[in-house]
Amino acid sequence: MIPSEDLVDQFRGVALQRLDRVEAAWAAVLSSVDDHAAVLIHREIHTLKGESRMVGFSDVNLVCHKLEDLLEVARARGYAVDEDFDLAVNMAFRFMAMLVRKKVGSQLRGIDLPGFVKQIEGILAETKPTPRGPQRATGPLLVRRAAPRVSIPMRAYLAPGAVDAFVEYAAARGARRDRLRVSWHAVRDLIGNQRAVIGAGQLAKHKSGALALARELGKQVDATFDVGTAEVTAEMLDAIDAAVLHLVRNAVDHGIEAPDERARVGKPPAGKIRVRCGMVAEWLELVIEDDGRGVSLAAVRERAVALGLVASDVVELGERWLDLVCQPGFTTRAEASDISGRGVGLDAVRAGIMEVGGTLTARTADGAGTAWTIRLPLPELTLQGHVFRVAFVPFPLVLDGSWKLCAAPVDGASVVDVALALGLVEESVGGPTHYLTNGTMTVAMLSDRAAATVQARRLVTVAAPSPYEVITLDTVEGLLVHPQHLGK
Amino acid sequence: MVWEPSLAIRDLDFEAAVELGPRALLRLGGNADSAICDPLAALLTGLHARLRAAGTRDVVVDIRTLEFMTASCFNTLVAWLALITELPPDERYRVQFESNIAIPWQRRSLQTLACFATDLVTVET
Repeated sequence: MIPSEDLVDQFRGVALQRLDRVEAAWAAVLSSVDDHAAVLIHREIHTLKGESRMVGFSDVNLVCHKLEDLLEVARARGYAVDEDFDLAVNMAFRFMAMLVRKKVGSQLRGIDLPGFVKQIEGILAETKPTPRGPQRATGPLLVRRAAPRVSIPMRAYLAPGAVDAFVEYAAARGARRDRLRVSWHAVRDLIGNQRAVIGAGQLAKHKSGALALARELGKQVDATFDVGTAEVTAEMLDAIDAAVLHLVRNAVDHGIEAPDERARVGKPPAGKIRVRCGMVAEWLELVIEDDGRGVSLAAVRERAVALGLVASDVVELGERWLDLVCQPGFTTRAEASDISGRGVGLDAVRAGIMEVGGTLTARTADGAGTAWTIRLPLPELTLQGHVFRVAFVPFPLVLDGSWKLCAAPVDGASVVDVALALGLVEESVGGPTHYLTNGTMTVAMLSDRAAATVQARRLVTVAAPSPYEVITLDTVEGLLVHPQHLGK
Repeated sequence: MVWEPSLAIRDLDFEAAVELGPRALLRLGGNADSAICDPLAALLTGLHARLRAAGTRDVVVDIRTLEFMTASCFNTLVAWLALITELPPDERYRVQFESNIAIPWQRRSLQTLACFATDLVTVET
């Protein structure tokens, strides 16, 4: 059966993505111990082999099969392979990419598939099966590497310099390049965006923690966690994690009453705690609410007056209660326990949320419970854009999706050569010109290849009006250019 | 021949130079380690642009003094070939490698490279 054109197109796109991932993973396996990458390589190639058979790309299937032979040898050698072997594997990736791109049913004009397979068989025949390195067992699929980090304000301060460091490194050569690479990587690891995904899995531990604490305190709690999935920064995840920890513990310890007390006021014996987290427009909203006794505003007022935070003639605190209970060291408890009462929790929650640009609000009702609402701006960590490879510029340049390709500049409009304006080339190079406009200005990208739409991940974000920031396209680092800020 | 100073790389132990003309010449010599990859890729992209603009049909790549080239660096040559094969047939140019039989890696690598485009690539020793 001949596969449909749609199916083939879909295969082509997925296969090229697989090959990109495999190529990056192969480099990672050779440069360091990376069991995750090793697993990924074998899995992806095997999947590609099956998919290619399904859509009738028998040539890709054949090269996959030979490549699997090569990869088996590499695995047996603990990935301690020589340059010839490395080259054969890399060329197999590229060869497959070329086969994937060719039109269905077209002749393999100029492509010598039997010759290529013969070359791989030659490498396999010459490669002795004796392992030269230790064979590694499959390791964990996720390895979290700790790296020192600096505060968010310090990152914002360092970011413009970091982007310049990237440009200098990428354009340097020889020993200078090696030196600058070390510097760039150190800065990148220190201030680059670290992504995290928040979901039910991250917060589930707080539910079991709440139930355990309730049992310890002789209370009954019915906890519900309704958590959506969102991409956030690692700092945001840390702040959310800390907030849920403190606010849920507070709800169990301070808010939810003991069963007999609840019975006296006509409530069911089990207190309810509900945690909701999800996207609301451009925000991530986290709500933690309980049906407990609520915050005693009288007790807060009394403590605030005693500490001199509120004048004694103030009768109603109004909205000020929230600010007071978030003061460092503020507590209405006479004694601190091992659970709470040191007046640290809410202070830490608010500080952590504010540090990542969020807000903390709350409403409480005497005898009816408290609801805490945290809103965090969702970071734009991933964006769609147009990627260009410009002659003499050793990294890709990306313009975000607000720039639209246009056939030619509007009559009389000045046109900016982006690479030249950024100082990435000394003179305007020849070649095909691609024009883009954002409605108010037109820019030119001189690139031999037509623009491709890509998904870029922001690595080092710089506040406006910086003309550029560092992004990654899979594993390749490049610049996201903001032409509207050139010259500012 | 016109000397193109911008189409050149001079590193500690690697050198690349281009002479443009009806039959362009790209000389690569020394050791092309991974630090050379990006500059070499940029040079090849630039060379491709110049060759297209000039309508050149033949390029000689002289690697007789290229002692060593990493796989990642060699990949830039593969990517360059891919650029050529993506051109309309009447705009493609041929690439002739002049290799050194005394350097073992060149033989197999170039034979494999030629499999990508037998109609465009020839290897001379």
